[in-house]
Amino acid sequence: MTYFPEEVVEHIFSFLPAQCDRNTVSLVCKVWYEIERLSRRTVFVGNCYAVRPERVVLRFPNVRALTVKGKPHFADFNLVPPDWGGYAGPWIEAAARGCVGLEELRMKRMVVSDESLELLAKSFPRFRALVLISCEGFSTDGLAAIASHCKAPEGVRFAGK
Amino acid sequence: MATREAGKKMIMLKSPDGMEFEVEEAVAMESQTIRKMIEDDCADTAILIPNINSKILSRVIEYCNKHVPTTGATGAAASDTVAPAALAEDLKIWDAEFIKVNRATRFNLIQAASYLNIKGLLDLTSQTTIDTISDNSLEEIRSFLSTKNDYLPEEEQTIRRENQWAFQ
Repeated sequence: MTYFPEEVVEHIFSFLPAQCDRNTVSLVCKVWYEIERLSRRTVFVGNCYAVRPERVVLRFPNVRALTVKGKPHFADFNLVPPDWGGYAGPWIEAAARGCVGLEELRMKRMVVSDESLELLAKSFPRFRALVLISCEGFSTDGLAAIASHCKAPEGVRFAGK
Repeated sequence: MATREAGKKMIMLKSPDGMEFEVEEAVAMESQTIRKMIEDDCADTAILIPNINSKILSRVIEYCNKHVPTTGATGAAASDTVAPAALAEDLKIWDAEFIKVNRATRFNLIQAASYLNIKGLLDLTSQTTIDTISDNSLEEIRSFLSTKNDYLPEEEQTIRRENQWAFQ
């Protein structure tokens, strides 16, 4: 095979349009798996219990934008018991330990405590965008922590209840 | 460094198979690697380009010739008459034609673009490579790149499962 330096393969990967293509690339061979995992900047986890947060951080240490979805959508109609889970804490803790380059975090239908928001505010120097959709569990205290620590030029957005 | 009557500086590029190409300095400086050599005064007479054969080097020069910014003495007339958008469109069409090469040539162009640090050419060749593999299955990608699958079946299965459930 024609030999390409790793940074060239990484550059080629940067033209891959979608996550599923990157997933395919990770299956080609071990070298490609390594290059792909180290160069992936956005990660989408469709179900917060499909994978452990530590595993995500270990595999994609250089992720910049992380999206995690929690409770199923019928939680919007109060059909999910209050102690179902979907806690943001373990995700933010794992990211704080393993990928300090995180810049954007999107969460949907998750329970986000003020403590988690405070940790988030302190842990990522380049953090700039937080999006919480239909999330619960936090108060203005947590938001104040975010506001005071993050430069957040793109700010914080909420939607849902 | 050779100088031509028009006052344009010329640079001699040599491929390892002994061919020499005389190009305008501005064209050669499309390559950031060569630009650095020239700026550091390491390019007095001729620059040997190792590991890029004459066939590939001539294509690279062809690309740089086309992509050198059309400003200054030579390009003033062209940019006066042609709108930038039309120029960009023209370049795009030219690029599409340029990159209609076989896989081996394209891979050689990627290596050359990487070594010579020509971003536009690297982007073009990378995008083309992705376009040709995106629609293919894993097996096709492997055979296409002549890459060996070095996963144990259970290793592959583990990654496949994780990709499928965790990362959509």
